[in-house]
Amino acid sequence: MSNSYLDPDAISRGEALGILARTVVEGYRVGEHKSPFRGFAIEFAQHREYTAGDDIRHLDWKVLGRSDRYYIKQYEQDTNFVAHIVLDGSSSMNYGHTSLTKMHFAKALAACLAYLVLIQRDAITLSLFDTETREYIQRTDNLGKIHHVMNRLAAFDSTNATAIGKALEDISRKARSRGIVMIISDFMDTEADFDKGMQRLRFSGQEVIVFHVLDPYELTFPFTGSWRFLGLEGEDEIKTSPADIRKAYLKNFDAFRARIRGICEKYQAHYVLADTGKPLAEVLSGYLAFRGMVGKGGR
Amino acid sequence: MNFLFPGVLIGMAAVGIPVVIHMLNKFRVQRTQWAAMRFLQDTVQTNKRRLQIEDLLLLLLRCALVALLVLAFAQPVWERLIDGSGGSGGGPVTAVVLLDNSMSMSQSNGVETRFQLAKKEIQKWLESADPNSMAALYLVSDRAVPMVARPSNDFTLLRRNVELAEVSERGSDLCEGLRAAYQALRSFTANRCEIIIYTDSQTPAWARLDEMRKLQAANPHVKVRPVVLGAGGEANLAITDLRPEGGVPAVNQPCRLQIAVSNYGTATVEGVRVTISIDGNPPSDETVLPKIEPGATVSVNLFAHFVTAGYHSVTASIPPDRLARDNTRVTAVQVVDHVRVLIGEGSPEKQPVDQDGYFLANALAPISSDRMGRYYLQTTSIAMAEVGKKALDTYDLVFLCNPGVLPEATVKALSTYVQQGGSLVIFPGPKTDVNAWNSNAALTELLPATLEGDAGRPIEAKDPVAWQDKRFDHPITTLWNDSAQGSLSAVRMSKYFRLKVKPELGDQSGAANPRLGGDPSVIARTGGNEPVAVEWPYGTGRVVVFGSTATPQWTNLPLHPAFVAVVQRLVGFLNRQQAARLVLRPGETFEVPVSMDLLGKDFSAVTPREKDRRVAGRIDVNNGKATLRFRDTSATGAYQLFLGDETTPLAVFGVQTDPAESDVRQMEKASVDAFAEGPKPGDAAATSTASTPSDRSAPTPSPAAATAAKPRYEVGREYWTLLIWVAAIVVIVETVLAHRFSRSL
Repeated sequence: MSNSYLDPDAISRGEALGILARTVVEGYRVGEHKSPFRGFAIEFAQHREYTAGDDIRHLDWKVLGRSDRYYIKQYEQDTNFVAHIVLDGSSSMNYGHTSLTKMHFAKALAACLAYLVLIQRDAITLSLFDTETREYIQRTDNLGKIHHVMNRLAAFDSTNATAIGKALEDISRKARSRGIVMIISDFMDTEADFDKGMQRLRFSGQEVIVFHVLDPYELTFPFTGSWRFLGLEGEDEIKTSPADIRKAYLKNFDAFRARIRGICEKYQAHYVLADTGKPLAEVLSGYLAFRGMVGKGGR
Repeated sequence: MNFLFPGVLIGMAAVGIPVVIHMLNKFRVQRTQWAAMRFLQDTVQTNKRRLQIEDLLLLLLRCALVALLVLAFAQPVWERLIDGSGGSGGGPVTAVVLLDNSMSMSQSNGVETRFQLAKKEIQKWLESADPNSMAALYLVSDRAVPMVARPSNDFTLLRRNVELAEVSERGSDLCEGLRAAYQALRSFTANRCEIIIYTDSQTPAWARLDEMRKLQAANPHVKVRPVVLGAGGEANLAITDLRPEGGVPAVNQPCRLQIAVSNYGTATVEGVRVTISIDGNPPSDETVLPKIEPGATVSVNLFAHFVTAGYHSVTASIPPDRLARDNTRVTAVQVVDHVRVLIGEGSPEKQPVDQDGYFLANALAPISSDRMGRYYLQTTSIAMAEVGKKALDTYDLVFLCNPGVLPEATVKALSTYVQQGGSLVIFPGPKTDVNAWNSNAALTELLPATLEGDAGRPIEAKDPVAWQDKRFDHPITTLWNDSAQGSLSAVRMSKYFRLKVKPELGDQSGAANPRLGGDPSVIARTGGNEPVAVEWPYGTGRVVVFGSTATPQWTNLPLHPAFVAVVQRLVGFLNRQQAARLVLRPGETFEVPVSMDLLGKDFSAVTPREKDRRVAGRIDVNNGKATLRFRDTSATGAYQLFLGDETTPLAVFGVQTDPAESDVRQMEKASVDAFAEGPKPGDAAATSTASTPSDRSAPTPSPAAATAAKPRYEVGREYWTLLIWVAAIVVIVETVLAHRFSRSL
């Protein structure tokens, strides 16, 4: 996967975004992995007596302890799960040190995730928010609707500030059954709101994956000379000499990232740094490989 | 405080450059949109004050750097008011130390020499000098040798060089050292400038005091401080002269050596034993001088006998005293087997007694005819017309008696012969046509005097003209200053040619004509002070011309008892002049032509310092001739040069110190003090370009002297080096801070 797939113009077109998602996901599936999200929703059905040859892993040890009888636990067939893709569409996502902004990267990431879930016949919902939820695509497990999803993603234009707490509250309300919530954002909001949102999601039984989308310039602050910084979300402009404050800025920023990661760990969510300077495939496959390693849902 | 280049201060406007750059940087702002404004805002607000302070600090450092550089280039100096004497006292000084290392500095007081005392004094001065002082070190004898050529603050180097310094065997001339010192100080104006002369202040060292004063007047900002070592009135007995006298040093012939012993002490010395030895052997002759008065020089003759021909060294010695180096003196003598003399006669057809060279030949070989074959002086008489056809270079001397008109070829042959080292003696006679001679340019150039007659004929005196009685000043005739040796006043001339001596050329002789070797010298004069015999060097040889005949025809000289002595001394003098190159001053190069067969061969040397033979060089070509050349003649004594493994030296020569060096009497203290004080207003001798006695009385002081006498501001210290160092530190600090500030937040 090369960066050429992240052509901002291409991402602005739904069809191209779909092709991109397919290429990335198919590229991933070609390997030894099957599906990273398989077997998520498993429900208990009944007991039956143990017979020779049964897998003792399914033996109900509690029944054995109480009644000294051997019973095997039986489950319902694995059911489809719902992946709630939550994409931050605030103005701060419009930053990019090149023409590739965080928003472009986030859209591509969301498209890939949606395609990946749909292709394994699971369901997705897509939520685009800034100060409130701007776009919401209802649950669908129809792969044929992928074009609709892509077009909505591509057509979205971010203009407002961020209110991630509210967005997460909406999702927790809308997600009736347990599923996976995939949050794609730069989290340029107060960490307290994010914490509150995460708390709600966890209470509603959702597994949460956080994709923290950041530009390399935000991570390294490599500016030299005098610069005037214009806030994307209406903040006052700042004129400074970045070289003089680089270390302090990076210290602040690293602390911010650490806080976000801390919140994720607090609610047993996966934290994934999505550096827009790296290829999308690298970011995605890196995480999926990690997920495959730690097991289902990370639990 | 002042500036040497105040105009440079205009550059102080450049201090604004960092401010302008700072402002331009502030205005040259790039713009970007930014998402993480929250963190940027926090960072900027937290560090705003510190950033401002750092910015200001860096700006100030940059401005200070520019200001420091401008100040450094303007060369700020600290000035202080001093009197006209040149200033002295504490504080840093830029000094040139002149250490007299002439031979006289080895005079001992019984414990240590003057040179050792001087070295101690210099070490003391180095210890007490201001740490910011700088000093150069020169060894001064009759030349100035730089040990540390330019003033340096590396006193360790100076101390080491002082320790390594050695006394030379050269003469003294403080003027040379002073000149070198002023040259060394020429570009130093920062500190007080001083020349410190550590010397025994012997009188000959101040011989060019007038010239030294002129140098002093031309450099009034430099203080001259003589430090006199040793006490006045110390005793010293020295051999101040040693030379062969009389005839030619020949095998088995007694060779007279004249030895002069001088007493430079303040007490009479009695019973001085003087010895001579040949080739380093035990003394072969000696005498005792009964008494030498203070300041007096006594000459004594001792005789040496040489049994082999060739080069020999002769050493004269007196008992050792506290200046040991002048208690022996060495000369070298080239002893010959034979001296071949050619006599050209104008009238060879006459009876022997009437022949023009008859008396001369007898005077040259004053022995019976049966012993003539064994005598060292071999004479050959030929007709004048044959002279030009002879191979003259096979003869050591050529006499021309009563020559007539000399053909061009003969004149040319004679000129070449003399140029190549031969000796020519001319006795005119009746056949001599002075008009023809004077119109012959080549012959006129050859002769030391022009012969003038009475309308081309000899001057006929009514009363015979007598030779002078006393006050002879030529080595050939000085013998007759002693009345015990007889008198030449009985020599009379009835006819003669007047000798018009050629004007002295002085130092220009070589420049005027490379063939001219020096000025003419009068051997003898008439009672009326007219020259009757004149000689001069021509090329590497000599020409002697008499005013009258070598026969009794015009003068009674040939019949006078002194004639044999005059002729023998003449031959001896001419021979010694060729041998004069065998005695050198320290540092002179010894050169002697040798056979072309020896070209390219190595030669070894035994020197006064190294008694073992060592390879010293190779015989090379000089002016088309194979030449033996030896340069390392710094020590006095005998030098022997050998070819290969031969035991007989190829050449021997002696190096003698300047006899004036033995005069350890010191310059009057008042004169030295007056010199140390520097030129005063009205001291015309020190400031005018002329140095004649009349100039000294000139009342008007020169501007330089007036400046030197008035109180004036003297540059005490320059700060430009300090400023450069501070600027360098500022650069480092600025770089470190800028680097630190950009990363430390």
